[in-house]
Amino acid sequence: MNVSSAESTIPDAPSGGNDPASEPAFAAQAKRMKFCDRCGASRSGDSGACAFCEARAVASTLPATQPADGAGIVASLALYGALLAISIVALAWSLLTERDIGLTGELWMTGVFTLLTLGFVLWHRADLVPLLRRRGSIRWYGMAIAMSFGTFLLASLFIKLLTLIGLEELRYSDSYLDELGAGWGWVILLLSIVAQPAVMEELAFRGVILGSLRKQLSLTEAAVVSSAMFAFLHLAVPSFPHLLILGLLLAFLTIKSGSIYPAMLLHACHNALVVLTEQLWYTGIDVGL
Amino acid sequence: MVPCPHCGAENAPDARFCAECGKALPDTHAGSPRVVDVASSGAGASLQGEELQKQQKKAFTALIIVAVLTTLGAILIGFVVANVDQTDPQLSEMFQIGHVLTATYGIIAAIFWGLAIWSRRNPLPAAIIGLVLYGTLFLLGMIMNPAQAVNPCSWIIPLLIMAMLVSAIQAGLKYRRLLAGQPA
Repeated sequence: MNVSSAESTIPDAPSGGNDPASEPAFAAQAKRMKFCDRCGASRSGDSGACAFCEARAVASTLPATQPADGAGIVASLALYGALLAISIVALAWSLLTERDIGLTGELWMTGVFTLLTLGFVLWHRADLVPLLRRRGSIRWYGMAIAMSFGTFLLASLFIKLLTLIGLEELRYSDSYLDELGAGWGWVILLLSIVAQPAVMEELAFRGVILGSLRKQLSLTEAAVVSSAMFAFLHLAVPSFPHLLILGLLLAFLTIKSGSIYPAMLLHACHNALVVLTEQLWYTGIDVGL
Repeated sequence: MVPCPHCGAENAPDARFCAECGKALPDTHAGSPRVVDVASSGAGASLQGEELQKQQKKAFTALIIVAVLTTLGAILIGFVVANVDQTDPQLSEMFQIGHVLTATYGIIAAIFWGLAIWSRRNPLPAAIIGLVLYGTLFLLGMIMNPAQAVNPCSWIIPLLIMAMLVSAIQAGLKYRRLLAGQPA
């Protein structure tokens, strides 16, 4: 049985020219290291710990993954479970009271989600600090913006296909604009549907969960598992395919740039496109077509 | 110093990846498991390895059970939906929901088939994803059908499946520790 430990299906960045590194001092070589020599993650050239395996640039006998006692997997499942509980409680509430949780309910959920995530981020700050400190090169941000059009089109395509068989298209922005009016409605809308998920979900999935899983799984495996968890948490089975792809791209951006911010940008742009097109181009699907 | 076979850059002797191009270096530490090491460390270790591999097969069993059950569910709902009288206005809403439900079961079944196939090669991540998805759907099902939730019989199979996935995950972790030459 082939247990993958270090292979990665994520495309590698193009190699630079030959760099013989003739001096034996590893510290000097470290400053030119583009990739971590423990785990292969991109390092954007500065010296110091790798964002992903905290390996120092000096030769070390420590393995990249430290499969200690499943702690990383448990921590990831704990955060996932806690976030899932919020949605389950909200769902149970609306079923019991036989009405929708409404805007207030949604804002409460957003608040609890934020607090929970920040709690886990604090607990795992050792893993998060390198990702938060590094900004990554500008090309990752350009890539994030470009990718967001792709992911948005993909999502729209999948959802439109499913509306043809009777799925009701979920509209995110109406309740905000109806209840709060156009002014404040847009502000709260952009904060809670664009900004908050982009920041908090990235901290949760690409920050805490990817970082924790990385301790027991290879980079690719951790990316796939964290993306799957990201897709499942949204609790919309028809959305699984495009959410999985979005999750994989977000993980790719985080791993390659060594920073959490490009993924936040992709996520924010994707959500913004969904919300803006919802309002600007009202689409009603005539299922009779 | 070890030259990288892909780009030629010099790397530290115990580097697993090239610091210049990021590709895995051809080293026994990076890449496929060191089965030789496990075998040579004694019959006890290789027996333990076999034992753990057997436990990891639980992941495949659990995942295939869910895949089959969900597929049957999808077929059943699809059959019922196909035979509903579409012209009856009261039933037309059920008809639409039925389509979505069939698609939902279909997507879930496809995911579990995929996970089952993946688990033959790499049981640990497949088991983790399987557990997360199954647990999520189970909880959702309980909330949406509280009448079924209070019936203890409806918990037996789900708990069994989740227990199998959890033990597969534990076995997978132990197996990897064994391969890395660490104490299980």
